[in-house]
Amino acid sequence: MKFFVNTRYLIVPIMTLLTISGIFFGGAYSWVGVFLFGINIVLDTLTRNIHLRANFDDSGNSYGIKSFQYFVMYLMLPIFIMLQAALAWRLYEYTSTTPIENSTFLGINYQIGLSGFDLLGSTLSSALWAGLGIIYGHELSHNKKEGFLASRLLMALSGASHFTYAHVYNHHLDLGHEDDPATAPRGRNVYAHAWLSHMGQSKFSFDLERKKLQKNNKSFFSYENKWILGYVYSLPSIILFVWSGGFLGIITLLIVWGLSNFLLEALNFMGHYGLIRKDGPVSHRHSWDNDSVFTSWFFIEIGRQCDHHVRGETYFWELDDVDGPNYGIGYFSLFVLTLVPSLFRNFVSQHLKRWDKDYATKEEREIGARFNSYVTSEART
Amino acid sequence: MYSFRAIIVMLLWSSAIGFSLYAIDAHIHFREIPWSISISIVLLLTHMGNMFLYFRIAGKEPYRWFRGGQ
Repeated sequence: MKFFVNTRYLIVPIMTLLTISGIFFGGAYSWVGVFLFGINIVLDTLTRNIHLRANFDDSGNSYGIKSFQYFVMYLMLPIFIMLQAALAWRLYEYTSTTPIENSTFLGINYQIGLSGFDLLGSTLSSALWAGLGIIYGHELSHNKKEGFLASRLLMALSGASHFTYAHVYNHHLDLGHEDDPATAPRGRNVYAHAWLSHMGQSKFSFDLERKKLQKNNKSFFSYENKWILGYVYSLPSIILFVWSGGFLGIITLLIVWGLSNFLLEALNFMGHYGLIRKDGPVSHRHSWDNDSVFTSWFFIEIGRQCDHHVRGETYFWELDDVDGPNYGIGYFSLFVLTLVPSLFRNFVSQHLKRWDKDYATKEEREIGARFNSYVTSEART
Repeated sequence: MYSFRAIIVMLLWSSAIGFSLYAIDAHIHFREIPWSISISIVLLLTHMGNMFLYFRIAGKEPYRWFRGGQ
């Protein structure tokens, strides 16, 4: 059981390594990351009705091995650096017009040079897996020690180092309130949310640092400014892509950052869409659970949002079903629905009605009713 | 509306920097290490400038759930 509990969370590391290998082999393999993403949508949809609980032994102790899980999470930092390096190498070849031919490395055949189509495949593969890898940046952000720095560096690969501070000190404290940019209010679509949430979280970090430095009588342009420092952490990625691809490198990096941040914000969108908290502490009812088996294992239990937001310091392998609001399907399946806003609103309306009826307090229900009429009147105008 | 206004200003700012980089032939010299580092620093500052512009122009308005606040 111990072996199973610990290895079932290795889907992302293994698939990320396959994606890197695909970019290395070149040709049609450049699209491996995109293909795997598609396969995951199918697997998640097929297993949507399987929901498992967290595993504990007879004494109530978790089977999770902390040192192993942390080793894997830290290992994801060099793996994601490798992912960017592999893409930059292909970009270098493309912009240097390297002729397409076969070669061998340690007895393994691979393709030198690539077509524009394959560069697109490599870029999309990298972007999708950089986005999915953000779950490790999230998990490590809840670690107060060196994990926090690892989270900042992981997020910096996607130009989103501000996330680490905003997630812990804004999202977790202001959840379900308009002061939390990562909580999507009713009526907003995932595209608008991705923009607003990203900018809002960076603004939170910016304001936090400005106030802190002002209080300590220090200049905003200080090496102690964590907002500035977060962006400086992204500088090596920018240099790598500018050097390897020039203008095309900048476009490629924008695609990687854009898509990976879109996936991150889509997770925030799905985790709290339409839920309201009027004063009082954060409770299970202020998050949506997505805990179908594939989602749980793939996203290292990030879908157990209800438990996570009440016990933020709890290791992911100990998070459990707490009978909170639940979409009943996994993240991959739901993500496809969010891409078509009308489809998502149709799907979520029944869940929101149930939330208003079964979970909301009187005050939260009143705000919900105000929202419902507001959204309807906004839609009419 | 505030977001839209901010995005327009961000686009103008980014275009101005992009044009300046083009004017000094950055697109030709990007493989020279000092150039690639300098271009990257300029791009990072442009990005941070964009964020600042958005914060200043859009303010809190895009995050209000209702007109007049919650």
